[in-house]
Amino acid sequence: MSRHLSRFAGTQNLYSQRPRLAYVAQAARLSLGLVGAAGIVFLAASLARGVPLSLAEVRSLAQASALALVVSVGWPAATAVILGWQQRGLFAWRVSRGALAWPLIVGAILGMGVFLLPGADSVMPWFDRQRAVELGLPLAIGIHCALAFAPDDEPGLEVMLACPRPLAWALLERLAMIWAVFGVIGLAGTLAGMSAMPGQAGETALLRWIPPAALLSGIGAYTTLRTRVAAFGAAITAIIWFVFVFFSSVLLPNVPMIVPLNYLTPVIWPVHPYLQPDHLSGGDYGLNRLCVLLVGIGLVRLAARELRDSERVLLGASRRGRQAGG
Amino acid sequence: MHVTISQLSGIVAYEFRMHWRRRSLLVVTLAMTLITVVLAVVTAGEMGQDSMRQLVSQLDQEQGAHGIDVLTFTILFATWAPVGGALAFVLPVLVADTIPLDEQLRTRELLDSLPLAIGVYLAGKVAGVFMAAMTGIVFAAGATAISWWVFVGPYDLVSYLQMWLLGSGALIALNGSLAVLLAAGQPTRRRAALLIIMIWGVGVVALGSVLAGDSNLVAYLSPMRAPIIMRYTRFDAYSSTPVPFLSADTAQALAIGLIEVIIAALVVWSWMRRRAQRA
Repeated sequence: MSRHLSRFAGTQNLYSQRPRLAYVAQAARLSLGLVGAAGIVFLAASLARGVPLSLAEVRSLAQASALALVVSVGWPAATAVILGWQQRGLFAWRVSRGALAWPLIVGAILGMGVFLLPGADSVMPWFDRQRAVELGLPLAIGIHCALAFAPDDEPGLEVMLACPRPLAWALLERLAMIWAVFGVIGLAGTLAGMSAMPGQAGETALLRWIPPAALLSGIGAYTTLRTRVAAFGAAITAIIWFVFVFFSSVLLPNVPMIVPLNYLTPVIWPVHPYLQPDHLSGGDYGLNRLCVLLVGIGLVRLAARELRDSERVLLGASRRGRQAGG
Repeated sequence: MHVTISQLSGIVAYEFRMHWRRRSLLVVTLAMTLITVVLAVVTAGEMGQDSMRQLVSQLDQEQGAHGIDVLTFTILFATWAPVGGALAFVLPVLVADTIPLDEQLRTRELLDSLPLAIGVYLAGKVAGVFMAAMTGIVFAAGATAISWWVFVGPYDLVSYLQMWLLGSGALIALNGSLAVLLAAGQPTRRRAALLIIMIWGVGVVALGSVLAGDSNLVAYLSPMRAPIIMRYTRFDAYSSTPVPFLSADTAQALAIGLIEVIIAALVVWSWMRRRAQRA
């Protein structure tokens, strides 16, 4: 008991650090805002001159965005992991384990196994065996994260809100549990793929699926918490997966495209979850992986923020909105 | 009879309202409308660059196709791709919770205590989904028909409305109903969505094998409804306007889909009946 209380005291220490955290958050928001404004200016300039943005221009924007994302997303995420480790006794892992959807996990394993079988690429001509893990696993993780926590489907929501433990912990616990399970499956699949198809670099094989999985997790979790409908979050995740998988080679710079999409496609590559190592140079591929990963973590952070307003979580309307409505 | 109709209309009206209040149907309808309007603007931009006119004149000279036929087919193709995809893949997941929600909100016991026939309940739920989704379709069809006409110019409106009302109506009637019925036994919304995602996921893999030309039977049985989805993607359609929705392929797919829905309805009806008798 005293051990748990001392850990709660640790949480209080976190709250005492809030002013310093607030300054960092403000700086991060400002840097992201500046990069966003720069992006709009670049795009407006390209529209004005009638020539789409070049690869070099988008690269400089992507580098600035990655830096801003590291400050605004990477640093708080690292802090959260350290604090979470310090408070680890307060996590309810056993309950979170109950939120795992085993049919989805079994389906992901079976799907990955089938795709890894020799001859799978001859049955489905659009499919490449090297992509066995990256195609199915991120979708399964994304859908699972979308179904992980929907306020309307939580039976004990009022009790959870009344507890001293922040509600966002419940979400993060479940996402961590999902990531742990699928991480093991993904690693096993990567090793199986590397042994089935020798010659693949290990880090490339991992970079193929980890950033898209983070991005789709973020999209699923955020959409569900924003709309309160888990099915909608799952559907949006599936649509985004579908678009990027099936139009992967079209959403690239220097690919002929109709107006006005030719102005948009050059700026998509930094956040293209299914960019292939041979699509762009090694440096650009690395930058893309970093941006995709950080955007995914950023969306998870935004999803956790959605749970801060208890009135919104419970009733589906923000305090400001309720006041405006009288 | 009067009581049955009254009960049925009550359930349909309630489902209609609830599906629109849950926002997901609203978002899907607005997304379909917005994407189609953007495509109309993009196509208008292409025509401004004369590339579309060149294509039309080229097809006119080479194959004797009329400009309005080519334009109509381009419009049908551009519209049907996002609309058909959304209705075949997304709508079933969104409406899967229609019956499980009663279980989750603990209104099942209350419904069981009322003199409401299981058949009427199921018919009301399915019809409610159909009416709610079709209302969105009618709105989207009207808004996008006007936008194509304004941005691109005159085209065959009969084919366009036929595609929206019959094509979309068929997908809603088959896939929407099937999703509602297949998820009926699930205790929570989450599990209902999960079940439909799993079934439709298997369908996507099956569709992959269909595209590879492996099996036509799978195409008809799969909830992907490939013959209906592919109806407006074949380039031979532009040679005759109005482009009819019903062809040999789509009629077969409709018939097999209806049989699937009827079988699912019978299974769910008998399961619910047995459950009510046990209780």
